[in-house]
Amino acid sequence: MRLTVDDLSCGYGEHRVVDELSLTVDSGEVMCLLGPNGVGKTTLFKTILGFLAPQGGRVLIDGRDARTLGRREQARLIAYVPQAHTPPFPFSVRDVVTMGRTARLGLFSSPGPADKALALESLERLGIDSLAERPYTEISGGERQMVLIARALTQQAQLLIMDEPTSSLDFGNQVRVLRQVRRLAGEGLCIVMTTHEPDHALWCDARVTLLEPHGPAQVGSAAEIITEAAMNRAYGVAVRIGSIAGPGGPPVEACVPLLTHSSVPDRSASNQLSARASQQRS
Amino acid sequence: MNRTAVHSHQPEASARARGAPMAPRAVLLALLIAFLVIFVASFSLGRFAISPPVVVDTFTKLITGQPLVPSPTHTVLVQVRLPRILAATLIGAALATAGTVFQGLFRNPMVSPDILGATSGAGFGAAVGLLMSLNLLDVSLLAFVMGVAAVLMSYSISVVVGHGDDTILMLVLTGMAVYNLFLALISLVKFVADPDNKLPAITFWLMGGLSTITMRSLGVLLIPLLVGWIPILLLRWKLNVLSFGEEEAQALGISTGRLRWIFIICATLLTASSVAVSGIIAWVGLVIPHVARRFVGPNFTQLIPASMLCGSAFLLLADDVARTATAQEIPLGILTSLIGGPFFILLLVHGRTVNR
Repeated sequence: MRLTVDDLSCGYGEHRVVDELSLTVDSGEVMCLLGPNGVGKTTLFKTILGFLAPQGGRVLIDGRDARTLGRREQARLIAYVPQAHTPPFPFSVRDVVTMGRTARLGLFSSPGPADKALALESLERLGIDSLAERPYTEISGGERQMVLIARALTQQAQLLIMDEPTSSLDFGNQVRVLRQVRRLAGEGLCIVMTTHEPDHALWCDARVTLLEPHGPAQVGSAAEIITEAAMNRAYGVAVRIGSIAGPGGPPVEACVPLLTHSSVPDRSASNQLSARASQQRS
Repeated sequence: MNRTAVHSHQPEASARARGAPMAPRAVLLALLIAFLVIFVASFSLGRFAISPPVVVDTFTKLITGQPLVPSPTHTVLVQVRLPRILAATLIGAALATAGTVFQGLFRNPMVSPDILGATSGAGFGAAVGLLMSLNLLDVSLLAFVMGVAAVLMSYSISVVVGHGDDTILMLVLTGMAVYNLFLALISLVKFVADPDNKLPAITFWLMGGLSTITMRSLGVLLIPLLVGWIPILLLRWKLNVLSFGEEEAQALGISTGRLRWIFIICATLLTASSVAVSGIIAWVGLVIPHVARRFVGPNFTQLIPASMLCGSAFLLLADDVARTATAQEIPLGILTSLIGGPFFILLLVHGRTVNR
């Protein structure tokens, strides 16, 4: 499975938000979309998912234009994991996860035993099968996010598009969700997610698309793109990026903001690193 | 393999799951039995009491084609009570189904079948029909046509005005406008109607009731009801997915526009044809889905049949009260409102203590 975003421009009506973006994501990869609020992460998402028509360029799934796929066919290839939400009715977790089968069911059919077994299997795969009979509206935000991931797994799509899967989760649940993201990519899924935390991209060993308010988007590995200079440019804050050694296993990179510094770009640091960043871009 | 248990710090979770309620199928069966009991009991109730064995005996003979001795009992049962009881059964189920469907479509448990103007449109049609002194069947026909027309109006305005933005919100807003427009038109008709005979007829019709039902009007009612019910019953599982909202339903593989349109048309057929025959019977479409959800949960696969059974049972009981409580019959619409409003509040109070 390969997702190709080819020269894609998107936006609402006359307003263009993302201009001529190109990127590819392959099976087994995590692609993180980073960028400040309002830079077009959601717009890009909606265009990839076909909720918005592109203003230019194409979205290709294994070489096929996504717009030529019907809703059903698209849903068999791409699963959307929205932010944990509260639906108006207290469906059981099992029912919510079973709805992942929608694209595999005939017009008049409802899920059979095989579909329900698959739903339970997805819950087991994420280790949350004991939630099956609980109302989705009454579990915690972290649990709801996991349930939505389970629903995407039940959809048996190769590409998972996750909209800020860690937002509004506590620290522990953020880490648990990220661990699953990494694991699912390791199992061969293709994952595209937005996040507000540069750290999440570093921890998931992800590839990164950094959308900047001024200037072209940058695509590359987390280590290449998440630099002190780039974070400063994109978010307007000073950061330091360092390595923390774990007990056994490779060191972990972390991006730490410098709160005592003013939001004015830290010249010395950005000068040092912009040379490195521009080299990488070229 | 790395299996993460997000919930591991919540031991009460599993205890709750073990205390799970009855299987929905068993509940549905219980509801069916309760409905049948009320259905049969309704035949014995009335100014002229008939014992249940006589009721069963009469209908057994009728169905098996054995000769019946004409008697007052027979006349009351077959000519008077049968059409009325069948009407209460059908209309209660139809309004409850429409309410359940609209609540799912609009993702809001506070929605009733009035939402797109079907009831006020039908009310206007009937008022005009009565103003023009049409016969009862034509009044119903005009009411039905205007009810459907009002919904088509809401829908097409929302498509034209909305530019595909927030389709659901736009529908609610245009529906509200159309609903109120037809309420104003009803008032206008009442204002110009002759206060001695036409005005009381219109007012009485709008209050809702089943006293004018005949086997013939039932036959006419049955066609739009079946046309509305069959697709809803066949497609009902998909309402679950639609109730997660436009984008999620699309991402799960549903062509939301077409499916929503089918559900709106079918629910409108149910509402408009019911109102056309019975007048405005309030609260059934709003309250019954809540009651049914209490019994079988929110999954529309069980919820729609449960709503139908609860709606029929409720309207049968309400109509039994309407025809037996006082010397002069109480208009059914008034009665359902009198019961429905407080009952709804009771549900809300009870829901708070159970769910939280």
